[in-house]
Amino acid sequence: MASRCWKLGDNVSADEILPSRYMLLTDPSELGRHILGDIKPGFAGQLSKDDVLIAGVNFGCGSSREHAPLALKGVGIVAVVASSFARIFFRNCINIGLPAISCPEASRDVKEGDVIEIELPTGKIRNITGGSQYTFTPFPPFVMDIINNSGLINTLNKRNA
Amino acid sequence: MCPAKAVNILSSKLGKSHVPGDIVDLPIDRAMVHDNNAALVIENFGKIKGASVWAPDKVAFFIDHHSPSTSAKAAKHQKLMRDFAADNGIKRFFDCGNGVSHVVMLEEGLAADGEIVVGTDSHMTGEGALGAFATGIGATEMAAALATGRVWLKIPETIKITLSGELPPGVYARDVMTTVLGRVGPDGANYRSVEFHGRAAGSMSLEDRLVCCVMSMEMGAKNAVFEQLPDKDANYEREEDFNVSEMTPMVAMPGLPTNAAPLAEAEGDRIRIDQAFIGSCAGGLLADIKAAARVLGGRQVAKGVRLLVIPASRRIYGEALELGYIKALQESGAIIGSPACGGCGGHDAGVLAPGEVCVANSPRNMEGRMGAGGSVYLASAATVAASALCGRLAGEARV
Repeated sequence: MASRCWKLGDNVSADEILPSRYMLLTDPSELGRHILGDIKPGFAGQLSKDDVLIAGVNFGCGSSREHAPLALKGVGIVAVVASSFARIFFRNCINIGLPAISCPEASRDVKEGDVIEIELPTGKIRNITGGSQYTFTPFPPFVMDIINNSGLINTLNKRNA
Repeated sequence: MCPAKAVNILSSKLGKSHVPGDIVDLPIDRAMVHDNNAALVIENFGKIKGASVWAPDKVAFFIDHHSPSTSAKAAKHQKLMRDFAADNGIKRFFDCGNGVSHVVMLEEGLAADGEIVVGTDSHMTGEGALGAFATGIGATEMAAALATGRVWLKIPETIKITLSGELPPGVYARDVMTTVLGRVGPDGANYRSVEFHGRAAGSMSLEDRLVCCVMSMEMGAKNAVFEQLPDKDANYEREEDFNVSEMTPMVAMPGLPTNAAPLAEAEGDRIRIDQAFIGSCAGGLLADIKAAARVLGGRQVAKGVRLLVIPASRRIYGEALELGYIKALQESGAIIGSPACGGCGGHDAGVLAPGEVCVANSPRNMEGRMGAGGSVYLASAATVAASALCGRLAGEARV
């Protein structure tokens, strides 16, 4: 799957990803309309399906709101890549089946608009536009399981079936 | 060398010695859910086949973010919570007006030393004030935790924060934490346990410990604790020493709680304010309300400034009433709200218009937090009150 990239800086908080005033919404596609609205007005409208966000350090810091990764998924984003993630945001992404990939190399090198391909099992990101390739530590099996099942709830149900 | 407190708590719970880095599956002692995330928790719980709440007596539900209900949607979510609690035997239901989760959990003894407490709020770190291992989790994870009574996590490394010396007059726990956050940075404690030590930490009231533990979240901490035992030789990843005797009143500039600056410098910019906010899990405590009443000293809030005071719990509200603080604040022109998180996150009353400026003693000031296009400066209750008097960012030394 080829994905177009959008770049964000360091310390972008969950609060900025999905502003508090929209937290009464729970439907992912409704939430998706409001992503990053305070720091990048109109951003949601610019996205296409299968896009990827590339952020700097401490992506998703601040609030524990799961609305933030839900909104990203709801607007069609298929993965988030960052130099590093804040811990609750990271867990929330995995638990709803949105891959959250720590790859400082990609965070530094990828430019907005670059098209990339992510290979989760082998830990590779191919920059089709720029020509480079980056590596990341593949997820441990239990995390891959959650991602492949599109989230924790499905994984629990499968396990208990 | 003994283990750091977090490692100790987690190992004891598992009946086996563990070290930082170990991934463990842990039974929890308590789960907290509040109304800002409950709808997602309940929706996800409903998707778990055959799920039932593992131990209803270990669950606490709070309505504190939209209290009383701020809109039809908020009211619907709150009804969902009441119905879910009734259907699942959850009796610890703190409905509208009881106050902010982190404060009430401590008041009610629901986060004791050594307990594992999880909640759908990042500021769960606050519940470590009495020695619990308390951490925030998301809605889906909480749904699974309610069904299984377990969470998995990686045993954290610990950063030891030593607060030595004595607080000078005019310097409060909030100023201490702004200083700490300024040095450690927004991700300086990411995935870490933060352990407070030192003479100044040891002499802090429970309210001040709550402030320190809540604000630890803003440097990315997994949990925060005050170590009850005297200084010990333990395995810490890193140590940060602070002498509070040398500290001065601080402010966090808009954008991040870690944008620390000495108040004296910021005052020079003569920043006009539209709103002054005293409230939230880190700012609506009795000491904050007392300080605000003292600094206002019977004088009137400046024209054009709204001073909001939101006691963090019903108990605190009651005490503040008894002690005359509420009357004093009301006579000075303060707007008193009912116990809740209030406008900390722009959920409730006190939303800012674009271009407006607020000085607050709540935990966060990210862009748009209190209202799209608004700016929030973070400071102590004394500074907020002084600013309300002056109509601009100012410390109590100025009034």
